[in-house]
Amino acid sequence: MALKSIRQALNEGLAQEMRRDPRVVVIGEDVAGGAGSQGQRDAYGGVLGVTKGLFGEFGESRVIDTPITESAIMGAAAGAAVTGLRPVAELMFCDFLGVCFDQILNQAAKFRYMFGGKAKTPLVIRTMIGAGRSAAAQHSQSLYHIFTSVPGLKCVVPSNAYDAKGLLIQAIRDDDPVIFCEHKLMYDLRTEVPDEPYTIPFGEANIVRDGDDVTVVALARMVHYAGEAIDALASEDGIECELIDPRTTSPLDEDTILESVERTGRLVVVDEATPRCSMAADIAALVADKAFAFLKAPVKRVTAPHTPVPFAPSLEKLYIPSPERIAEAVRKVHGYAR
Amino acid sequence: MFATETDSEVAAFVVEEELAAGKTPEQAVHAALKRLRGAFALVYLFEGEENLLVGARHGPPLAVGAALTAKTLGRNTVAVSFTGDGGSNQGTTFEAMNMAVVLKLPAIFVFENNQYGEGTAFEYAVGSRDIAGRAAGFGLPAVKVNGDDFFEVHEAAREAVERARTGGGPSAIEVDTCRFYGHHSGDAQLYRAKDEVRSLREDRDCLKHFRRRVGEAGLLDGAELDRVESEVAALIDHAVEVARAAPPPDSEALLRDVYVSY
Repeated sequence: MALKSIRQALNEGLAQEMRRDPRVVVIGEDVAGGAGSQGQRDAYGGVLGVTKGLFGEFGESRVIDTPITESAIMGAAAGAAVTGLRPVAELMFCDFLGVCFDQILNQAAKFRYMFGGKAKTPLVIRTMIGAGRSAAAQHSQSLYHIFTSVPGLKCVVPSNAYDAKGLLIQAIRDDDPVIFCEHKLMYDLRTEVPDEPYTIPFGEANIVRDGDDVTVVALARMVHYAGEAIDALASEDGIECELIDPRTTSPLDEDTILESVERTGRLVVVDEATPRCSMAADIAALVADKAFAFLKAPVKRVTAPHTPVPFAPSLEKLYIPSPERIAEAVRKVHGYAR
Repeated sequence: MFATETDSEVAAFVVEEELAAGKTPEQAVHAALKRLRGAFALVYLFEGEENLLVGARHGPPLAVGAALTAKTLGRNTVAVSFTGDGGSNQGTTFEAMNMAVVLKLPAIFVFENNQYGEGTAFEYAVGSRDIAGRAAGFGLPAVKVNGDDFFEVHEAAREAVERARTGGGPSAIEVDTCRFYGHHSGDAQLYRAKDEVRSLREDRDCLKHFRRRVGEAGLLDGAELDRVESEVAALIDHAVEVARAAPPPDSEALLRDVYVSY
């Protein structure tokens, strides 16, 4: 199997779905790039190149450059979805959610419920998350917990290229609105990815690594940081962690998390987002509620601090949970005695 | 002790204190800013330092809100927002212009039309291809000016400021201009025609036009302009040097200025 980056995997998944189904269209800012200019007509292919080449194959009627107007993009995509297209709309940075949330929160997410199940909204919103590029407070957030909290939305947070392709194809074929979160520092990360199309069902976590001492749940880039921490813990401390990547935050695979905690009795949740009302808080609450009797130690959450994402590289490094902080939390939980 | 009824006077006072302690103007502002809290936008000018202007901003003063403050408190301030051709399409921009008209606010909406929003051309993305015309539709005086021409821009701005200060309400100015660089530092600008930037630098450099105009009018000669240019270049070099030499923020800065900590 060929090694492919997350960028390639997403591009391939999009192209294959567009070939399979003429109702699939891509719409957003600079998804081709260069509209109306004198230079190359597909100069960007998305701001980080994920949709590069689609314009050449599918043309401007299916790879649609828009003005910088997020409300209109999301509203148009929701309206198109509910009337028969299967749009993959791009919200360039998830931070821009603030501009267009009404179209997502009060329109797309509500159609099926308010029309008594008669309306389908097969909409995918691809959006970038994550800190680590000194892109400052308005271009670095990880807001999947906000999408996750909205009934009527599904939310996908892949951590590798294999999952990214399978989950994206699943998202495009899903009849409900799906928010697809891509970490901007992970596009070049390579894993083995099949050439043919395939799907990964929503709500099925990936057990990245088996272990009996401590359960570690992590999302997106934190899966890799947790992996580093777990390697160090295994060799230096002899602690064996089970690493779970939920892959989708809505639906959330509660069973896999609960079954693991029932066995280990210890849980650390790692989340690049801010701590309040976060996925870390949500998963900690889940375990406190449904696996309390099995817990041998308090649940530990490793998150960003409750601050905006700082611009200064030195501060941003402190902001993002590090493998060291994750390892420290695991040691604390592992060594806890009543 | 120092008593005042306006917070902006305090900003000047703390700088004076630092100057009195023997600091240079830049050092004084630098030290004073550390003592200020909340949102501010300040420009310091110093007696005897005619070529020095130190600006500092903290918190984004959104134009309509800033204009509302000015009107409500009876200040002489005018709020000016700068938006691109890309941002001119945003719904929020439309709402802001409408509200500024409704509330008769001293606000000026400047649209720097540099022909590109990221990599997408103004020609494509602005449906009417007329930002000023669209602004006029909200009921505010709107003009389109040649951004290469310092005097034309200045005249339009003067009129708009005067209108705002005399209770005439908001204005819009569409500045027809161009950009020599990309959207961001790594932008390969493949969307531009091959010689586009070179010919723009040739024909549409506002500084070149300014030099020619003031020369022809006999207002400034080439030597004087050269002197100003090298002074400005030195100021910029100095500012970059000072910024580079400044220490990175301490780790406590991560948690500063957040209302609640957990």
